[in-house]
Amino acid sequence: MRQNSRLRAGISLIEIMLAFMILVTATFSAAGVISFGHRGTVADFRQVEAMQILVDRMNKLTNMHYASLDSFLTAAGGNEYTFNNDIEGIVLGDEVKIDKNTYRVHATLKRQPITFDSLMELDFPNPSYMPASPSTWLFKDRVSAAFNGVDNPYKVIKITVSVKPVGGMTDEREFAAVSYVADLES
Amino acid sequence: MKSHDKMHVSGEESVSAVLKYGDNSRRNGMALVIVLAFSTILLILGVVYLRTFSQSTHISGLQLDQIQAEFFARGMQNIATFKIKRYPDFFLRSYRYHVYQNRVNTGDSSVPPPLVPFTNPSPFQKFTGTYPGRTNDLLHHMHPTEDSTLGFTTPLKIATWSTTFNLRSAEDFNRAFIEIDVYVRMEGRDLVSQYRMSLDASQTRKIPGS
Repeated sequence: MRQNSRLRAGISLIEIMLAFMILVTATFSAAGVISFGHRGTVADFRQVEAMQILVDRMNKLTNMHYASLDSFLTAAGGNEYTFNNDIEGIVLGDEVKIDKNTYRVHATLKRQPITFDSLMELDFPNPSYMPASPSTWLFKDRVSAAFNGVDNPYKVIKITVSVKPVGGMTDEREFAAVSYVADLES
Repeated sequence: MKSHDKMHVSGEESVSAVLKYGDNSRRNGMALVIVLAFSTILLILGVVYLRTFSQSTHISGLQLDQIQAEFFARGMQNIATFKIKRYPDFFLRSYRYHVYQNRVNTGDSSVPPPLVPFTNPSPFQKFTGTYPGRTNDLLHHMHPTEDSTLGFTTPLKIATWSTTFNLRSAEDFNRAFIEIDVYVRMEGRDLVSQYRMSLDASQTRKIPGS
């Protein structure tokens, strides 16, 4: 009877210790999950803000005229250049601060070679030709046109903006967008 | 009487002790049960939290794809507009010829037959850049090798893109609305996004000597 009593008392102790260990493990795991989630939430917020910066910079750059963008490249001295300092009031840099967060915002401009193949034109002389009647029109092929800085001047600039949150608790990914501005003035 | 002493009693005392303190054997394992229940709840909460978090990350990926596709489409519309401005006569005449060809092909007897048989590809197909036998064009999907050589879409991951032109005419094509549609599908997505640009265009003719 006494042995049984001691055994039961021992079981109670083991049970409490086991329960305590499980509780500690579960609590630490929960704390880890909450911490991970918190870091994720902060990273999510920075990613959303990074996307807003990306849209803002892209809008500003794509609304500029081809001639302005081309002049930046001429000043930089190349057909492709990555700008990490402000241009025309557009804030760029390795450490752009928005409230408490810091972002790396770069813009790359590139004179983009393009080619238009399979071009055609009206074939003349054509005695039957009547301007208002398509049935009288004859087409013929014409040579393709390359705007590559050799055959013809460049006419398209590719804009790439990249935004990356920096200085955070986690290494976050970089966001980038691409667009093109064509020379519609000349 | 202390609780660990109650096991020393026997007989009537034992019965009275059980009645007084309750049956302790029923309480054995209760701490474990409570802790396990508590841990299970914590586990469920943690899983739900992580699932919510991972879903929000997925949503931000979709948003980024949409932003990338929209800006890319805007750029393609700029290039398409440049092509129209560069070759306005080719665009306008090939489109009108395309409309005429469709009317002939549908058996419209009010239109005269062409001077020469219709060619395949048609002039308008040549303007758009893609037709059977030529599927690779700047305004459409480029071959990955050519794309990487030109660095055209880098660093985007675009699965396919294409551009279509339409002309909504008025006043016998002297005034028209040009519609440029760009279709973009990002890599790893099924959704094809359509982006439309409309331009109001008019045509004037300069009379020689005026």
